[in-house]
Amino acid sequence: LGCDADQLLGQYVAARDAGDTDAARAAWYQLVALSLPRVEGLVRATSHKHLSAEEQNDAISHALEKLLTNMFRTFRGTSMGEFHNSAKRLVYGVCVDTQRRAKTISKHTAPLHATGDNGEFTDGFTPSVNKAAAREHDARDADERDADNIADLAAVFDQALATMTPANRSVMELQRDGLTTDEICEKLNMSPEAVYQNTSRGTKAILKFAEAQNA
Amino acid sequence: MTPIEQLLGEFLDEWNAGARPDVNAYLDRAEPADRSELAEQLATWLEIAPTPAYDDATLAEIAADPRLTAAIAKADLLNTPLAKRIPTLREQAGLAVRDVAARLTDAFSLPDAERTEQYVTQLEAGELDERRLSQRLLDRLASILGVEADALAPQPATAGQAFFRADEDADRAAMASMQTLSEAAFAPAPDASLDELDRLFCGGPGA
Repeated sequence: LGCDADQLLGQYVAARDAGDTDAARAAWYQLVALSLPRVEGLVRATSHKHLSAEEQNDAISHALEKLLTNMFRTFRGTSMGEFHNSAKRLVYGVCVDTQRRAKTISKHTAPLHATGDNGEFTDGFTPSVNKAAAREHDARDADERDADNIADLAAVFDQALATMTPANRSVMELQRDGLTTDEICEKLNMSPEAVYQNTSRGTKAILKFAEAQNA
Repeated sequence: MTPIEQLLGEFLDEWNAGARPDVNAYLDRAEPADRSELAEQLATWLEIAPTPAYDDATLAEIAADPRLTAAIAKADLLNTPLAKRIPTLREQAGLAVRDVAARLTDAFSLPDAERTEQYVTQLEAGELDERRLSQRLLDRLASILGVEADALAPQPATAGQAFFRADEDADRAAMASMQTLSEAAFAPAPDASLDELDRLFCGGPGA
């Protein structure tokens, strides 16, 4: 299993564009494997009120299957941001499907989504989850995914930075670069508590920005 | 500092260190009233987080995850022709060819179970054209084999091939499509005397 996601994506794109399906698949499988912790985390964070632990594991398994097959067939992107955004939408769609399959709505506090009179996804979880799940649902039959108009958090990150305070912005930039709290403290001359506070506020600012984009 | 800020910060530290933090464990540590907000912030982070540089032990743990290995096995199966896929799925379901044929005969109210069995045998031997199998048949087969309809979908196309890429040898792609359409247009019409069973396995009007 390779450990550099960017490198694996580059290998996938090169093989895909050269028509070398076997090589593309080999790189893709590794890329999906590296995404397992993220997929697992997204499923658990998104569905914590709606799916049991067992159902969450089913959702993770289904999401992995779809990432390996459907998304391999349809992904046209060339960047990790596009990869994460497509994967996110697929994961949210799978969570909704899992809940439907398990028919556990009555056992849990609220459905992941609800539909209005015209079948649109109207409420439930965050607007971005509902919109992503709805789009995944709509795209499934056509087996295609066009250019995405869901606010892609990775893509709007830079724009969202502009809405943050300087301290929030500095911390979030370093968090995205993968620095540890100790390293951020040293670089910005901040206490760990201040790093944590700025991280939380920065995360909220990104979410708020993305939801404004979605609206 | 609030408990949510503390928990989010610890989660990010673990994530960036490649330690695979458990979202559920973090949510359990939060007060019930704080869990939704923490979950939302964790999901937001996971959408933008860099992929950490996992160590060898963690990479081995990921590669051996049973959910991943099972998903890869399924994906690999989808990359095989139906003639190989159906017997594998049938055996996994603990069914004999005769059982499958009997259920198809029953489901479609077919008059002849023996002929159905011959068709299923031919299908598994790769003697039938997969492209002509009726969607009704595939849907019913999936149900009998206890798998989702996707499991009997045609072999996946080449990576990213579901879309037309005008910048990549468009003329050749268009010619290939025209050739296929042309061949289909000049192909003999299906025999009108085909019965329901033939139509299910060989196509034709109303398949």
